[in-house]
Amino acid sequence: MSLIWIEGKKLLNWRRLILLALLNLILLFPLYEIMDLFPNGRPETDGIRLAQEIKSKYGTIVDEEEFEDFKKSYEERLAAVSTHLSTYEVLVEAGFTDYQSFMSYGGNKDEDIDLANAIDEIREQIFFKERINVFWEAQEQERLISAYERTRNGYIYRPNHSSADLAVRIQEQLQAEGKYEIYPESFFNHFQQYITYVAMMAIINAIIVMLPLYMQDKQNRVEGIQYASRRGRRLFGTKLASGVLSVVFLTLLLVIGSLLLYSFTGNRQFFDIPISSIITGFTWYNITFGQYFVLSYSGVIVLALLFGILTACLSRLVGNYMTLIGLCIPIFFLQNSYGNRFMVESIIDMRQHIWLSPIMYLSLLIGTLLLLVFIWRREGKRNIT
Amino acid sequence: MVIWYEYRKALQSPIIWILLVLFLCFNYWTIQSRIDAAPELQAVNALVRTYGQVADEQALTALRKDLADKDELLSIHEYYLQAGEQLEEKFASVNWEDVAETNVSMMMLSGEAAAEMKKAYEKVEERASQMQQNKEQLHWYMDGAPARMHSFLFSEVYGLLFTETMLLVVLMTSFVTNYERDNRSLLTVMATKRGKKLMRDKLVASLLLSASAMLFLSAVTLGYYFITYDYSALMNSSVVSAFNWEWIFPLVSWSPITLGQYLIYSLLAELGLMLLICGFTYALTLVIRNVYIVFVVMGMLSLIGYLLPALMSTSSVWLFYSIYTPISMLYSMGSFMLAGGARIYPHYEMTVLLIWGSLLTITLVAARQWVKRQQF
Repeated sequence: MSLIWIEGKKLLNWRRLILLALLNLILLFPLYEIMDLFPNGRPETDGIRLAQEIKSKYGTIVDEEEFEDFKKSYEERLAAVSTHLSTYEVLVEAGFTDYQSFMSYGGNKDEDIDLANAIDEIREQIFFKERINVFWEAQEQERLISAYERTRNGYIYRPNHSSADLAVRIQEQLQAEGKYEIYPESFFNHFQQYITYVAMMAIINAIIVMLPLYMQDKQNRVEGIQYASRRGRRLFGTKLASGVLSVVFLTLLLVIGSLLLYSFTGNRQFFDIPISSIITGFTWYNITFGQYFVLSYSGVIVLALLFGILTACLSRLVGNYMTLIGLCIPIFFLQNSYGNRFMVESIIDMRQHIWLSPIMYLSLLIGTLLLLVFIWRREGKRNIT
Repeated sequence: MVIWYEYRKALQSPIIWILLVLFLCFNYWTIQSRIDAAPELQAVNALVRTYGQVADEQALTALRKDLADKDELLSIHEYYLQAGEQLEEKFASVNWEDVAETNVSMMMLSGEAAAEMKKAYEKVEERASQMQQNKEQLHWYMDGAPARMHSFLFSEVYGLLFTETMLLVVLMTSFVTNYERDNRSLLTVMATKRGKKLMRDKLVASLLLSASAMLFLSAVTLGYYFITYDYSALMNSSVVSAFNWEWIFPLVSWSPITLGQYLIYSLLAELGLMLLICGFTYALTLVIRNVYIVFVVMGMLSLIGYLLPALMSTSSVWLFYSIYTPISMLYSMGSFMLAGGARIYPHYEMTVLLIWGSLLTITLVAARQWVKRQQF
């Protein structure tokens, strides 16, 4: 046990800790920008406000009665819109004081160009100069209502691929609670983007921590002494344990940090919303946003561990740092540009096959474990040159 | 001779060859992704060969006549005829003050940065009118709007190619420089008279290695690129042709530049950057003495260079100075010698290379002095 601690101190000495802290500080800046970009601009901000309204008034699942009430609030907004539009003389004269005709006028050839231009200017004035909330809200609410009605009429999304699982899943979705889409998708998509970046950071950290695990002993020529003793032969496992603990420690720090950063978005209030009631929230399982959140973070921790162990194995196998880093570069880039897309960003997304991400996790796990077992068994009779 | 031995050290490691093969496969795959644009380029080449370099009134009349005579439908040529007819007017109608305004609002500039941007675009406007006199904007070129082949080659393919080269340069330089220390033969070497000069040979060998890595990777990648996408007749065309209008504004260069010159100069600039990166890696390795930490530190420095413009205040002119880093230059080859974005001063590339070249010289001298005082 004390050896694990000693090896851990060797692995995470103060110089490396400073290095890692600096690296993470730099890497956190884009993460902060991702966090800060939510909600991104106008209709998104209003969508989130509407989502809060739905949540507080109707709860997580919106039934028929509540939906009628929601539609009534839409009518009220339209009334407010009309009152505001009536202050424009041009519109009153032309009879365009209701939202629909105000928004849709223009673009057709038989329409009055002067009037269309005037209306365009008023739209510009209302939406971008005065930035009146109720207009933006009406626009967004219209979208939410149509999404609800679309799903209620049975138009549910069918992905390009087809499988027996998909048919079952679609049936299930039609039965589920909260099967009608009404919540805006912005916070869900934003979280997917956020967690993908966190996964990248976790993998970078895990790889960088594990790189010197066995390599530093090899470079310092202490293996000869270690492997001459009985305990030294078993050092491989001890060092691996301390490496894994270091990765767990750093990943947890990163997870806590990213959770703290994420709390600034205030999206915790949406945690108990079922994903199926989020627009375009197509997942293979009936879970809430909070469960999805936990699942994604678990995926990130698993990935960090697996890539850490993989790097540790390579650190034992190869002879110098150049080869080691050279091997880790393509592994990292493959994972970051392709792997994470399937394993983190759309981990249970219906647009990919149900078994795709489990199989990717499993094959990564099995591959890493096989490599580990191969190296471990070799350790007992290994020659030190 | 010693240089050759040092040079060989990196190449004897199989990982360099594995990485080269992987990188080339990846480049091949990336280049292949725009294969749909190849036939259009053939058609543009044919236009240049038949009607000359410039799409002026004479060439357009000839093209119009030829198209009228032919019964068969040559839709690409017809498209280029129509585009060519509107070209002069379209370019002349660009209001450069508006462009500056749009840039200011897109980059959310204010204060002196906004004023500087507007001042810079007065010069751009002068240059644009000069371009019109030279008819540089009327050269036949691959139409930029749908395929965006200029950005594809000089941003995407170049970005990939030189990221890969940079990784190899950092790995090989730190490996060669730290080789004796890693293999515990440094004391033996340093005990001899010749061995004391070994570090100098290592610098030369690293520079040679970097240059060869870059030459090899770019020769194969760009060679394949130009076999796949035929630019043969376009090499003398001006890059700032209004045909090459990819985004909201046309391209403006600080001086007349053809595609051939663009290619050669940008590759030379990249070579300069790679040698700079090699030199800095060498100096860092001398001081840090650990390949692993050198790699992480170089990664951090590149990240800082990459993120620096985003950290700058949008009201200060330092925003425009913050892009004077090798990393910013490496990833903005799509606007090499052009005016655009935050690159509002001419001679950007020369300035970056000169500033960082002199910084490198100082660093190397300082590192040498530092190493001299070290005990082994």
